[in-house]
Amino acid sequence: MSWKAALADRMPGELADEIDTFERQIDLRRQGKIDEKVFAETRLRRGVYGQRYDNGQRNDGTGAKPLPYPSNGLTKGPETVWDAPGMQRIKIPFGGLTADQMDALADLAEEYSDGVCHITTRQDVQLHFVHLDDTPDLMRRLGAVGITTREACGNTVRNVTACPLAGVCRDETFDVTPYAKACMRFLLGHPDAQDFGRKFKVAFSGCREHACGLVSMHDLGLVAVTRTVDGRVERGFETYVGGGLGAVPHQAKLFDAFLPVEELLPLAQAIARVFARLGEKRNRARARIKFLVAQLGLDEFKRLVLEERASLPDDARWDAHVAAAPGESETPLRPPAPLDVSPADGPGRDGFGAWARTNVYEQRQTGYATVTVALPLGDLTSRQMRGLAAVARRYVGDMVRTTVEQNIVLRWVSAADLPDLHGDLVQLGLAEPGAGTIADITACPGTDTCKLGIASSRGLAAELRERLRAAASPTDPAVEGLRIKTSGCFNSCGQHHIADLGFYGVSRTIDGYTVPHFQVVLGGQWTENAASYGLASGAIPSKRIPEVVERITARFVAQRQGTESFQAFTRRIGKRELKAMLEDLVPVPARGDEAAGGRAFYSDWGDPREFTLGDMGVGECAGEVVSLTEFDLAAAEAQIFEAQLELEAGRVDAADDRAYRGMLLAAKGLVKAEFIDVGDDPADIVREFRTRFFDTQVFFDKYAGGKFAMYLFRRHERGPAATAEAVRQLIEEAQLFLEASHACQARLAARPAAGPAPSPAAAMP
Amino acid sequence: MEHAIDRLQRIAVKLYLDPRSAPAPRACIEIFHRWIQQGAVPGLLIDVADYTHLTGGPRVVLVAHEGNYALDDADGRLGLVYTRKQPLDGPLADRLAAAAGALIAAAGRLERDTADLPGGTASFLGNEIAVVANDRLAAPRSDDADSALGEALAVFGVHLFGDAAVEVRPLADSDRLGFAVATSRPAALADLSSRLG
Repeated sequence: MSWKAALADRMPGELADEIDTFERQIDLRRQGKIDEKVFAETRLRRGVYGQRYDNGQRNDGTGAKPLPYPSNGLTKGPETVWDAPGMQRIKIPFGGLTADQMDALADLAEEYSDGVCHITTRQDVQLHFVHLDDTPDLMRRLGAVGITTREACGNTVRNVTACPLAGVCRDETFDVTPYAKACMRFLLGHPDAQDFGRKFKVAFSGCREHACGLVSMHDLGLVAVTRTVDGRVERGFETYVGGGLGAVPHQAKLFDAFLPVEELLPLAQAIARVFARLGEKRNRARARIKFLVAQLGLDEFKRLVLEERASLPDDARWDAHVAAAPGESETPLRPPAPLDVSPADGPGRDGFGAWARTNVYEQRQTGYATVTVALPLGDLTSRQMRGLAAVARRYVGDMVRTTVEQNIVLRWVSAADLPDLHGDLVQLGLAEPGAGTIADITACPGTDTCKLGIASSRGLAAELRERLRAAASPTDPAVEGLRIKTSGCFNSCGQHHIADLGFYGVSRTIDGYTVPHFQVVLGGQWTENAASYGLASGAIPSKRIPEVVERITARFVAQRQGTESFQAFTRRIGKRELKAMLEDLVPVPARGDEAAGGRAFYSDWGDPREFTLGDMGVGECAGEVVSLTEFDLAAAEAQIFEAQLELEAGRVDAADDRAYRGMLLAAKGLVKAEFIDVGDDPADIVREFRTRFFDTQVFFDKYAGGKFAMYLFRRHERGPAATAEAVRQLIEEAQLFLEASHACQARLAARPAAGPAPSPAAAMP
Repeated sequence: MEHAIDRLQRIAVKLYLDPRSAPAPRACIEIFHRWIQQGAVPGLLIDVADYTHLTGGPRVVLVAHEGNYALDDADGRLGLVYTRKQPLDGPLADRLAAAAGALIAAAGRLERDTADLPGGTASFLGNEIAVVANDRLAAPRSDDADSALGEALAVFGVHLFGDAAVEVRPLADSDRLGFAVATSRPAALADLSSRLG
């Protein structure tokens, strides 16, 4: 008996065929009959992702060591070894889960993964350390409970997300759930959505004010609105396009203030067609739709989309998918009842009061509440997942959703059941209070499992979480509601741009050793659907980030004016002052300086290995030149920071100039490593940099290639940016160019003379 | 006639730590990393996953190609689990012995490597091992499968503990087919290991 046979009558035929086909493709690749690049995209489109160390190599703290998988040279993608464990991403449209699905996820985590389910910042579930050969059965077992992993990764329409409170929210215009579902069903596998240069993300929100949908950072964002025509209320969407985080974040642009719901799917199709036809295909770094919108201009983009829409032949599915939406509603499992318990058996006992204060949301529907199950780092064990499914069956049925804050909510809890439900969650170890507070930290996988991770975002998040939970309770109300988000690199999967306190992993080279750092990103706006993004305010050693949080929050508490928001506070204090108050945290003690705790700085949170971005040694021949390079990189950092200040002050031209000069300084620093007499003429610097570092690919990032160098070339060739928004992007680009320069410098330092490998004992600071 | 359970490959085995002598989970992160450096336990050792922020499951996982090692408290008792992922050769009895052998080797190593940890020396209870069929296809929860695995484990228990009076009892609160196999006699890890060969 196989899972294929066992589940044959429980799977939709089309899905069963798709998985059979995927299994055949695995066989064909095993036989060498499919090109590895083609196979990589094939598996990505089924959510089968690579994972750190899947190139068959890992630095164990004493040096890079081969991982001799028994793959016999077989790969599942470029530099991706067949037998190396990978990640399975599982799409959960709008975060909606049933109890049966939760049971299935728990089973799969136990049998194919490491016993842990991970909730992502886009409402997906991820299982890590999964073997490729197990994925077809894994998919069949998901298919049997109504889940597909199709288009969970790759250049496709990714998971369609939505506010987890949709339908129960006190402030929403209407429930967006049925529309998110319709959009997902319509676009899944749609022929017009198969030829993108990059991924395409869609999000729905029931209102403008709250952050739950994060519409402003999506390729296509939809906010529920209504209008009254001839006395009749019509539903529609305020429609945004071209938003996105990633390395260079873009705020989505308003495409249409009122898109009738009937036009939702046709417009999505038209946008997909325009994106597929005109979007960048070769340069992945410029292939998201945000670049197309920026390149064409919103007006021209809109014209093209509307022209496309007008030419689309009618499709019966447009109406079929949305027609039933207004009538769709959820049926609660239990009758409504008020919370009515005495202190002896409810609030105030066993932490119920504290939990209820932060984790219980009073629904629009009288007598019902939504409970947030706060998950540390988005993780829960398979036992907890199964236990939570049982809790769901007992209290709410299938009314469960994942959230973009990596939590799970149980909707339609009869308020009278809250004490009992809390008790059940206590038994599962899932009754942690503090949902939506500063201790409820969002983190991407970072160096734990992600191939692109630079620093340990999860390690940092775990450390901050532990400290914040242990801090004097109750936390000051001014601080309690702040958001901390951490990413392992600039790509912003942890959504650091929209946090009050955001951090993303970078590295610095100190005396020939690579030291993990985090860029501090302050002033992002979580509310109003992620209305504005923060800017990097300087790199701080990873081990000192907790002090950054302590200092900034303490100062906020001490100097907050009235009900001043954190964003307003940071603006009032100013970036220069904020940077100044962190300046003494920047220096890194020498590795041998035990009195100053030096060794600890050279490893990352939760990982005792000596930190490395690859095979790291102590540079000797390049020592002097590297010092000069570092000098220029430090000057570049200052320039880019000044650019932010200029922009804040409204001096757009000066900000542009500073950002450009920052890039030139960084490039010049690198050039000096080979040609010390390079002058100050921008044309000379760019030419030398191009010749020595770009054309030779020395500057190239393993995954990003030469895209960061293009930021310098583009600014140099095109001249100053014209608008504040363009300058803001230039500053982001300059920051990324600088980070790439630091990484390049680290590679240069390691290249000429790798030092002796430290002894095993020495390798564990 | 062959029973489906005879084809069971995904086997998880667990030895329990004496609650009076158990290392802090965080201490195992560094130990597991060192095991990778030193190739200290059987298998192609890949990485360490830190789940010390969770309870009721794996706390620290040493990910390996053939099978994972994990400090684990999924059943409310802290212990070391070996979860086999890749197929093993031979009949079920051999596969059980191979999985248990890898676990016992790792447990012994953990005892030695924590010997100098202040307040955190690992000491395993050598007279009990939990065996879970981590495969809901080959070993669904059914009376038939339950009986077949129970019988196989009774034989395995006698072999492992060298004691005809082993107790085989179903694991409480387990979603998967699983049994605790125990003897009332004290048993040292080295003895278990030598009996498995």
